[in-house]
Amino acid sequence: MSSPRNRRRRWLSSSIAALLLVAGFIGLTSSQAFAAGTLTNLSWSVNNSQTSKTAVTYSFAFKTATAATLTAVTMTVPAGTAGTVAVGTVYGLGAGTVALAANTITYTVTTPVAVAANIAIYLSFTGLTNTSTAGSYTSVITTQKSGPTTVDTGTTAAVTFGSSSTGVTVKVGQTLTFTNSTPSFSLAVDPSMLNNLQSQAVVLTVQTNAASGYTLAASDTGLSVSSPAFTIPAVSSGPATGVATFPTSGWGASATLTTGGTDGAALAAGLSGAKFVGYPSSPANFLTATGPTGATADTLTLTDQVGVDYTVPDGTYTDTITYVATPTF
Amino acid sequence: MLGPMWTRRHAKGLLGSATGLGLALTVLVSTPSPAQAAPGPSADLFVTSPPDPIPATPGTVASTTLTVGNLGHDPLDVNIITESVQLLDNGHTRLVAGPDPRFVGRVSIVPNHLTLAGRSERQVQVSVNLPKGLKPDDYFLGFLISPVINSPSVAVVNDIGGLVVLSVPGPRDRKLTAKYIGLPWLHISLSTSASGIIRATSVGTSTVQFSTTIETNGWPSPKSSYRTVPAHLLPPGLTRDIPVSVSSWLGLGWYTIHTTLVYDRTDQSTGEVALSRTVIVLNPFWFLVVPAVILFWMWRRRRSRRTRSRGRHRAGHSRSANVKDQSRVRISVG
Repeated sequence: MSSPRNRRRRWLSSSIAALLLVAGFIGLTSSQAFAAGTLTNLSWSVNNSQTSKTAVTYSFAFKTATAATLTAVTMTVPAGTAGTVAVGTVYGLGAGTVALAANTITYTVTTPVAVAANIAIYLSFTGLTNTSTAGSYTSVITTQKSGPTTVDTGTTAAVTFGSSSTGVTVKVGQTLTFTNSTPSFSLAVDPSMLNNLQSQAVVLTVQTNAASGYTLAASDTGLSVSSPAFTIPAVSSGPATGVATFPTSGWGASATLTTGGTDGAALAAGLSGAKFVGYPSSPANFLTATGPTGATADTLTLTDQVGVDYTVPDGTYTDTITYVATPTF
Repeated sequence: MLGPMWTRRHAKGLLGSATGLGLALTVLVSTPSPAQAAPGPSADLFVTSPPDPIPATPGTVASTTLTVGNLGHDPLDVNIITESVQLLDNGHTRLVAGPDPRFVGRVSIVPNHLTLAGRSERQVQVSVNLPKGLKPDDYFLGFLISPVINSPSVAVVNDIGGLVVLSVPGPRDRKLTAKYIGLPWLHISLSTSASGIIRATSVGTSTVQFSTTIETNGWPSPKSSYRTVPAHLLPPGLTRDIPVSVSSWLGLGWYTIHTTLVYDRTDQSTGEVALSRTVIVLNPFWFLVVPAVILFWMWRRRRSRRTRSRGRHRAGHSRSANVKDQSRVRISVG
């Protein structure tokens, strides 16, 4: 059996050992905090990998590992890289300037701001001339804070430059497809109660890869006859104003929209709730999409409707409706 | 009965509308014919334009191609003409009849008339002879692709437009301002979210290209949200709205939205506009909850007071016995 004195001594030595362990752990972790972190998701790409090729764009992307107020990002490039470097696109960092010196591209942030950990940053630079020496090259990307002190660093996968290699640039054009299932139609109406209201469905589809979407505007010349001169009135002034009840004498359309849901397509306010709107004399937006349609085209089903009463003179009425599908830049 | 195609074209010119689809409609009033005639066949087209601005030097010829395709099964004759582009806010455009005054007689389209077999496409070469005095900037050219329809009774025309951006290099005056709109610091609403827009305005004399980064953090969301908006062109004097919103599942939240718009000030440097806005989202339900909690607390307090006073009344006779017991326990422990 141990005496109380021995027990106290053992307790004291265990406490000291535990303290030393904790102190060592703290020292270890605090020294790690001062070491540079490792950037993740690094990539480096060029839009043409032929040696000595001019006007090449270099793009760099990565995720930060350590929260810091970044002042600059440096990216090494192969020896012999030249050209008048210019800033292309910057995401995740503030405004800055770019310079190429000593085989390093340096993007200096004008007003350094705090950047959290795990933030995606993308930088592209134009106007570069590739090295004349063929080979595979990696790029070391380094983020810096004031000092300059390295915050995070990492190395990208290699890009191969070669005189015999083929620089591949794929440009995907901006395409707008616009179809109409029922481009023309005739309606026969008379003021009798049995036949005074006629309608025709027109299905339009729009499909585009335009990044900012498109607008679909419409206008008409008026549903009119020349002799005697008469125009069947539009049910409203345009797509902003809809009417729930179709008038006894009027001309207009209601619309329904089917969309893939990815392009933010939306009908004009007046077309909500199956209301009817009139076609305006100058183009007005019936449909607006803010992004590309993707694989599913937007389908706009318009129900053009005419109603006549005994105030409408007989005759052949014609109209030209122009739907305007315009890509958004 | 016929809505002639060229009448439609003239009318469209008068209206200043351009890209799109023309629909000729005939309505017969008081004619004993079937109520509805069969619709005509469709003519479906597509146009592909270059995705990036075309480098263009004043005094030289800039070239690009448009791809025009016929998605229908029948052959189609197509005309291609150039039209003016009216630039609007939020990247919207409208083609206006007639060529751009700056490029009158300077745009060549080869071929400007072509016959497309069913399910086929053709390349159209577009060349622009740039005036020598053209100042450095981005210029938008518009093209209208019109199928030629020959019909004895009803003319049907589908028009599609294409845009080409010419970029003339050189020093530019690019300036950007931005502000929040519709985002009050206190948003009281039955919905759990507040939304508004960031309105960027190009205040220089040249077209500016900018990208946007939006970071939102606050309570009760544990993590910051981070969103980047792809780069957009913004011609001088126009605006572009970027929607922004915050929401709290609690109906009560405190958020700060940090927005950074980075634009190409010169070729070697970028400029930035930084905005920050704190928004408190408050569902009016919380106005009921707070008084309810206070009332409940007061009720509990009153109840406990009553219980205590009743307890004192009941325990009044046995107090001396308890004191005795306590003293007995104290003795046994000691």
